Order: sequence, then structure tokens, then C-alpha cells
Amino acid sequence: MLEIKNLYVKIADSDTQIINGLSLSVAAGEVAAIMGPNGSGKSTLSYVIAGKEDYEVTGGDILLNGQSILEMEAHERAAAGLFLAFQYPLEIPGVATMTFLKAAMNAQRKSRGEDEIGPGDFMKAVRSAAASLKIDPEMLKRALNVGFSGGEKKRMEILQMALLQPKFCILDETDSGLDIDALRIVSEGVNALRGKDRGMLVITHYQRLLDHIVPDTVHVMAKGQIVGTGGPELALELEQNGYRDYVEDAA
Amino acid sequence: MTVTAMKTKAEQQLAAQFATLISGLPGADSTRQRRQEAFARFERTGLPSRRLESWHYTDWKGMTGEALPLDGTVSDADLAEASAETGPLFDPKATGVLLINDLMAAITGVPDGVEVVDLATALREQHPLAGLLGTAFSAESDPMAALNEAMFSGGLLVRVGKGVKLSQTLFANNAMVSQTPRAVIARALVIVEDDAELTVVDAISGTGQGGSQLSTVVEFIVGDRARVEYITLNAMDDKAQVLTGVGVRLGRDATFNTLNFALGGKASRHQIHATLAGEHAKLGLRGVSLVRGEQHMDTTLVVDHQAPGCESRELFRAVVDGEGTGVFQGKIVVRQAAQKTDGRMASNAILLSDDATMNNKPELEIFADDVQCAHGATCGALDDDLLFYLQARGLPRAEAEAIMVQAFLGEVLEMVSDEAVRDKLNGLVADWLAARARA
Repeated sequence: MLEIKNLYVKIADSDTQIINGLSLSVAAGEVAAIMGPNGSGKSTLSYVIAGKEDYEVTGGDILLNGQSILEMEAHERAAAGLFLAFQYPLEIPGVATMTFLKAAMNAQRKSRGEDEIGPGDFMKAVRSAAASLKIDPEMLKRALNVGFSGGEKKRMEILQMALLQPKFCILDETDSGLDIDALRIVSEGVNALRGKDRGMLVITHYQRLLDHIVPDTVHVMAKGQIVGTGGPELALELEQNGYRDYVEDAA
Repeated sequence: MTVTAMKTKAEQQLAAQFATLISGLPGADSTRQRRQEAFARFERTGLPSRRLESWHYTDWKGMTGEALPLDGTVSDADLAEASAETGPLFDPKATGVLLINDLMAAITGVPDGVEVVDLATALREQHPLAGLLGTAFSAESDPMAALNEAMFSGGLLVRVGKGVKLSQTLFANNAMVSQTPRAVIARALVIVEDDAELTVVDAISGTGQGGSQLSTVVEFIVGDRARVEYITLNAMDDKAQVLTGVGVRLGRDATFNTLNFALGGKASRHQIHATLAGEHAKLGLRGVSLVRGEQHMDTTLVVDHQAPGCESRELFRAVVDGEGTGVFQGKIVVRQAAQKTDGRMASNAILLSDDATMNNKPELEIFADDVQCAHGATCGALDDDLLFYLQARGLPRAEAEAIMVQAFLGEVLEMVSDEAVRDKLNGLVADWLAARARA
């Protein structure tokens, strides 16, 4: 479903190379985890897949369902079914959360040639998704993420994911800033979206998240490459021994 | 030795117009005397240029190639054009006044306790309040205010009686029409007596068949404990040269809130002179400017804290696209007597293109020692990280930008208390952004 082939990425207008020949593939229905130390390029990888312009792909390719997405703009990738749950969701003053949600849903529908969602269906979808993520409906009237706690922001990301029903989800350190209860709620929200047609890439520092969102595969990333791959047991091994072995291998 | 600057063509035309028209302009001998003094004052400076500090960013002299003919008459063709022109204006059936080229054309449902008189008539009949003209926006303060006082041909006198509280918004819809190039110089005097309350929406729009030059000065004399909300809209066509002035004089415990929404004109300048003359008065000045193409839009204000314990809040936001130029000059003066003044001024601009320009000049002049005053000015492009977040959710770049601009301006517009008016103004922002996305 998502295929990354021998990818090289540097920071635009700079010589700093961040991804160095990374290859990875995630099948439909698969939940893959990427773990790795700080500075290994995990977040950069998520931005590059989502289409952020601060980076330049100097080699390789990224395919979604067999099609290269490198030439697509960020909004086209979203409409094609790609979703990035941000590590640090942004605050947008003055934009009511509901207004934003509706604009995003309709923009994606429009670029897929579908009709806009009716107000009744929209309200129903938002209410039910909010309820299962324990999001207070009052929060939806406030400006997007403004004054929200870390946990509230992460729940809002998963709410968007549930409403947009993407084909492929990237979760960038969704566990950071979450307490145990919030972690459980967010994980349940993610697990509810697991399905045989949907792929997920879960980026995390810690094994803790993977107790809740149990991955099918675990990859270890260091210095812009995948340096190890295994099953869920690999996460436990890393928790025990740290990244030292892998970092030294990559050096 | 005296140095006499060469008069420009426009200045020569203005002098000739004044000489011809003075005997016919409305007003008794005393008014005529004041007009002559005001014109002499104007002539000492001439049309303001960069050399005059208060006009440093707006070279009005250079922008005024010629002074278009002043014509106070309205032809049948003008009337037909005016009635076809309802676009950006407000509900024509609402309570208020329809003006065509600043002459009163129709008046609907003026409430009890409110007097609305054609200014030329008021002057001719020596209305007792007409003597207050020029007391809130002095001809001494600015050459263009002097020119306005010298040459205005009409306008309105409005009086809201003591304690009269109007719950309905009053509308002044002013359609500028001209089959041929034309200048209009007009004036309004609004007296809000003690304890009265008034909300006015004052909109100008133009079709610009022949190009136009417009100069208006609206003066508010606000009595003790009175409350005023004044919304102005400049929706002139893109050939017009527009000067709008607002003079405010506030009594004790009075409240005056104003918002100027500017998107029209080839070149425009909105000037506010506000004097907090009574203790504990509250002043709120707000503005939204949408600038595109080669438009030039200037907002210049002077807030004069004369009495102690007053509060002033200024919030101005501009969005500049294309090769447009925005100007904000804001000066807060706190006189020695105005202890315990609380003043805060902010001007924020978003530049949507590389060729857009914004000039921000906030100033504080404080002569009292126990005051709280602050000002801040920002100017920059939209935040790329925020744009990426919106794009990553599926919004194309132009739509993401539109959402952020609407949010940026929405924070100013939410201060408009009449919901229908606020919706209309938000709609104008959306239309402007939609036109931008199509371009």
C-alpha cells in the first residue's frame, strides 16, 4: 500500500541530508511501527510523506497504492487518502474547530469529485466520533487547538482521522504528552480505525504506545535508514537494550 | 525671503474652483468667512506630499493628477445608476438615509428623538448646532481637512436627543455615481446628546463610470455617558481617490467604538482624530483593510487623551496582496492632565505577495507620569507551518490561506455588535478572497 524505495531527503536550501536510502513497505491492513532514537529522521520521514515543502527529495520514490506521490501537493496527497497525525498539532486562532472540520472534509470530497457533506450527516459524524474519543462538544466550538491540553490536541487529531477516513495513516509520536488515560482513549480511537484496507505507520520513541496499538511489524530507524525489522517482540527488545546496537551498526 | 512652491495643476484647479464656487456654497457670512480661512490654510501647504510628516507614506499631491470638477447636482442618469447600485451597501429598506453623491436622496423611518437634516439646509437656515462644525476635526490639524471645510457642498446634520437610546441600527448608504469624472466634498455633523445611544453604519460605494474624487469628514460630538458605535465601509470602485475623515469628541463616561472596513479606491486614506475630553471616556478604534492590485490604503489616527482616567483601544489589521501598499500611522498623545490613561494600540498586517508593502508607524507622546500605554506593530507572511497543517488536511493552498485570513480579520470584525452587519462584512472578506483565488 505504502512503498518507500531507496529514499534520499535533504533539507531544502541546505546540504543537510536527513534520509539516506530508506526503503520500507507497509501492506494494506498492516500496522507498522517505526522506532528510533532522537534525530534519526522519523519525524522528517512523516513530513516528507505528507508533502511538506521544507524538504527536498534527492533520490528514490514514495508510492501510495502503486502511484508515486512525490509530484503531488500536500492537499492532493490528503485527498488521495494520506493522513498525518501531527506530533505537535498546530493552534489556529480564530478558526472554529467545526468550521475547520467541515472545510477539510468538503475540500477532500471536492477534489475526489464527490458532493459536499450535508449539515445533518456532518453533525452526526462529528458527534459520534467526538463521543467515542470523549471530546466535550463545547471544545468543538472553540478555535482549533487553541488553549487545548496536549491530550486534547492528540484526541482532536484522531477525531480528524476518524472523520476523514483516510486510506493510510501516519501517527507521529501520538503518545507524546499523553497521560495513561488519554493514551488509552487515543489508542482505542486508533484501533477502531484498523481495517483490512487501511495501512498505518506508527512512529514512536517508546514501546509503551505499542502495548495499546499492537503493531504487525516493527522497524528500527537510525541515521535516516531502516536498520532492523522484526515483529512486536523487537519493540520489547529495544525497551530492554536501547538503540545502542543499531546506532553503532549504522555508523 | 519666502519661498513659494510651484502649484501643481490640481492645486491651480482647486484655487479656480474655490474662487468660482465660494459665493454659491451653503452657509451664511460667518460660514463663508471660515471657508475662506480654511482655504487659505490649505493653500499654505497645498496638497500634502511626503514632505509633510503626517503624509510621509502617502504622497497625495503626486497621486492627484488633477482636481476633478465639483458638481453638486444629480442627473436622472445618475439616479438610475444609483438605484442599480446596491451591491456592497446595506439593506436599502432599513432605517436610514440614502445619499447620492453625498446629497440626501431619501430618508426612511427616522425614529423619534432623532433629527436628520440636510447640511446645506441647516447652514442656510442657521441651525443652532451648525456652529459645532469643525470642533471635532479641526481644519488646523490637516490640510485636507482644511480643504474639506473650505469647499464642502453638502452632507448631513444628525442630532440624537438627550437620553434617546436607539436599538435599531441607522444606515447611511452613500452611492457615488458619475457619468463623467467628478469630485464630491461633503461633511456630516453628528451630535449625540448626554445619555443617548446610537449605532450607525456609513457605507460608500461607487460605480466609477467616470472616476471620482471623494472627500468626507464626519464629526461626532458625544455627550456625557452617551454610547456610539460607528461602522464605516469604503467599497468604492478601483478608480476612485477616497479621503474619509472621522472626528470624535468624547464627553465624560462616554463610549465610542468605530470600525472602518476598507477595500475600495485606487488610493484611499482614512483619518481619525479622537479627543477624549471628558473623564473616564472609552474609545475603541478598529479597522480592516483589504488591499490588492496597485491599491494604496492609508489609515492615520491621532488619539488625544486630554482628560484623566480614559481608556483607548486601537486594533487595525491589513491584508495586502499583489503590488498593493498599506499604511498605518497611529499616534496616541497623553496630555499632562490625563493621568491614569490606559491606551493600547496594535497594527497587524499580512502580506500575501512578495510585492506587497506595509508601512507601520505607531507613536506615543506621553506627558503624564501615571499612565499605561502600549503599542505593537507586526507585519509578515502567513505562517508556513499553519498552512501546511491545513493543506495536510486536504485544503488547497488558496483555501488554506483564505481560512487564515478570515480568522485574522474575524477577530476584528467580531466587535461589530449588529449581527447582520457583521455577516455582511465577513461576506465581503469571503468575496474578496474568492476573487483572489480565481485570479
